[in-house]
Amino acid sequence: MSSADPSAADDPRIVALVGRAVARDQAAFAELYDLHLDRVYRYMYYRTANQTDAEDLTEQVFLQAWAAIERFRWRGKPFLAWLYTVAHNVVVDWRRRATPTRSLDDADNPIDVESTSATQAMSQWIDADLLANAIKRLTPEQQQVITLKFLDGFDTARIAQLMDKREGTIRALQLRALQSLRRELERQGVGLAA
Amino acid sequence: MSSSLNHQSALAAALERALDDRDSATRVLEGELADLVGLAETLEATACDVAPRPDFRAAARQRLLVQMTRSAPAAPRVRAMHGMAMDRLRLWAARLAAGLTALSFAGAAAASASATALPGDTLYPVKQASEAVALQLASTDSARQELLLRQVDMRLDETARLLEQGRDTDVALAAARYDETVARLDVADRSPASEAVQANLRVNEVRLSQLLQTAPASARHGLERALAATERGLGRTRPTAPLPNLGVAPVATATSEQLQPDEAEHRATANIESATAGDAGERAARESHDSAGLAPRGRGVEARAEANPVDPHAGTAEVEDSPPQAPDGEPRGVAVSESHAASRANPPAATSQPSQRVAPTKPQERPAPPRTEPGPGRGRN
Repeated sequence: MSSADPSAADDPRIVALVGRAVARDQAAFAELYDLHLDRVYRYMYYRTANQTDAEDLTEQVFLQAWAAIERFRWRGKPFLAWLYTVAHNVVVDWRRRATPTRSLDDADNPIDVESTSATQAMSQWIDADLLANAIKRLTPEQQQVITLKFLDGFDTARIAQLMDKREGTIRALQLRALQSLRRELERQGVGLAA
Repeated sequence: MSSSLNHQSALAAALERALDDRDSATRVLEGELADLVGLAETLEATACDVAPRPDFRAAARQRLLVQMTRSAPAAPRVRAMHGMAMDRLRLWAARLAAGLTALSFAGAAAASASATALPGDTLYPVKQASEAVALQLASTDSARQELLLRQVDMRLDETARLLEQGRDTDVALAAARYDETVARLDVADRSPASEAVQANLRVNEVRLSQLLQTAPASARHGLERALAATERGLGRTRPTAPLPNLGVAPVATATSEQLQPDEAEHRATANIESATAGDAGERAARESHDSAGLAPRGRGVEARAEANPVDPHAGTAEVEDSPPQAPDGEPRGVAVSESHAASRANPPAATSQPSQRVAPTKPQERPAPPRTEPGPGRGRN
């Protein structure tokens, strides 16, 4: 086991804020909210493909994180990794509750195929919407790699650390995730010619 | 199959290289690799456009702050000082609580029956364990103080009951436990809660003095020891004022004179060290608390003098005016606000009279402090 400080995996400012938040410092946790809201929201958006759901779930993540912050311990991973773990659990619970009706909605309106011809002219926001609809159909691990690599900008070594997997496994997951995503987009009529 | 795996593996490695060095690589990429790199770039390009709405950001932050305030403990906690030791204690307490919860019906009945157990009884260790768990689960210092105060009263009740039953040898054990519980009370600060502790100890001082009037010789030593502990809790290493006029002859025991401070401290320490594991941990936390710069115990006289500059020794007057039960009958527990404690400890000046007013003829009938069982809503987060 390494004798290095496990909190060294994160920015010193974050480490200090987390230390205060663990001691139930509300102001410190509010700062952590400010610093991580965008990423958690993006994580949620690409898993729900719905702004309202993403907002609701993002709020739940921070509320649950506050409720559990006293149990937080540094384990050589950034604080964001812990937040993503909370977010993952929130999404899993949400899907479990929402599956019966949501799957019907998705089957009825999987995507606005009629707009395919205009895909190339879509705004970036609409592209994100389409991508989110495709990403949520990937496996959880593929979603995780896509999010961490291309939306959060972590490198493969860090993703391997966050997901407790070898770098080779992450590279393979990354390939399969992009392949699956491309097939899903093509199935939905979205062309992504390079 | 094997060649397919090799192809995928090679493609994964090539994709990684292409993603790492896109500026120079994408121009020469072809086929599937080029498509995948392009998709990755699309993902990256869209990511920065996915952001929460500003009004959601603000509203959610506000709701979070409200929720945090609602879930905040009633008083600031001193976790920084207790740190990991307290975490382990709470884990231990939670495990013990879970163990107690998991008791069979018969076991639960035994636990319930232990509430009236006396030192020397078979079920008394169960009672001690339950009390230790309750202390560990106290969410605030004031709640802990209330529990300790209640346990002090319980030890004194046990002592009186043992005397009634003629179990003189067990009186010493009960008195020793009274001694160590008093030693754990935080009487150093000058908060209203601490004033309530002082008032309660003054009641106990009177009661112990009365018990000594009729106690057989074999039980006197334990009672004297308990009385000495009470006086230490009141900040007296020796009596600074005559005992209140109880309508009976003065007690000729002079406990504090016989028990020097050093010796008393040594005995108290030895008693605490013989307590349960939970007690030991709690003591460690308390020592940590004290060593963090808080004032030591034993300043009660000065504290009272400041709180009542007219007559710092008018203890028994406060006894009557500071009933152990809140004026409105609300149980004295964590639900009782500090204003209640203050009202007990700081009675209106007009009602403070010399000690002769008190003379409780039947101190044994003093209403027992209401139970302060932790309610279900007090669960920790």
